[in-house]
Amino acid sequence: MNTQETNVYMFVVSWVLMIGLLTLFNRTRFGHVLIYYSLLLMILLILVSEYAQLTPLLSGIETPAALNAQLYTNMPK
Amino acid sequence: MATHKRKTQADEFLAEYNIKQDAQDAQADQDAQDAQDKTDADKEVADFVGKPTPETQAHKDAVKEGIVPDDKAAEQEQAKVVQIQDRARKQAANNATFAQRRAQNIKTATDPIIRKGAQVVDYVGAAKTVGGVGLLLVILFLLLFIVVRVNAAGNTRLQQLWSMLNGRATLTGAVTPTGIESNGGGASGDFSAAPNNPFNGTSSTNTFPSATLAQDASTFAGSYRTYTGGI
Repeated sequence: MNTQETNVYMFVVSWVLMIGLLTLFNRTRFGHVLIYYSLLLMILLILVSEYAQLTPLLSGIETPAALNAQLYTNMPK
Repeated sequence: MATHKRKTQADEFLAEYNIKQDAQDAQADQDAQDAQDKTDADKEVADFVGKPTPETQAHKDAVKEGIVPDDKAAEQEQAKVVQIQDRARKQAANNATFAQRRAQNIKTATDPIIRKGAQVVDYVGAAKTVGGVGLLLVILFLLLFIVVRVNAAGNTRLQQLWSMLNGRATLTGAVTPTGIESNGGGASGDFSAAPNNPFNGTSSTNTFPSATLAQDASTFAGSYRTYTGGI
């Protein structure tokens, strides 16, 4: 078995082991809560760090307001 | 929650002390019985020689010769034994009290910590998990695969997977690196140029002119790049 195959083997075993342990931990009440809030934290951190990617989602909300403001400005006084 | 009283050091000491005390009591009973037997035998001898009373000279002589037991000396001996036993008992009781007090002190010191830890675990365990872990995993998957861009071209993981499916991208590890030793599965080499034309399997060089790539940018939507990021 060369080094590359060993790395692949270790990669797969590590993932399987980690998922198995997390599943077992998730079966306890305490572990379930801990995993739940860890995932929640991950999501929040991704949302914060990828804020720039998510701004287009907000543009749809901002545009009508800007248009309304423009319309209001253009309205004959 | 069921409580289980742990056997402390003091309890063990007391149990051991009680066993010793029982043995001592049994030995004392046996000694008393032996003394009674000896007295009975001496009485028989005294009866045989003429029943001397403690006040008479004959009794004193009999005691001196060892025919009749010396009651006074025996009493004194017994009193000494009782005194020693009392002292040992008091000492043992003191030791037991000390051990009990020590065990109690340890218990008093550690119990609140254990209780506090259990309270924290209970408190954390009682927190609500709305939607469950599955929902969060789905959200995380969507964010990681659809929102987060992972390479310089601004591709997401989902785009890269799609490129893998339609053959526009390959894993760098699958391409035999030229002039480079085993890279251990990591990404290495020059990725600035476009990879080999996937529609021309016989060529080992880049036969896809960059001008064509620029011209066909609308067709390829700029995603004709080697997969350089990790999933």
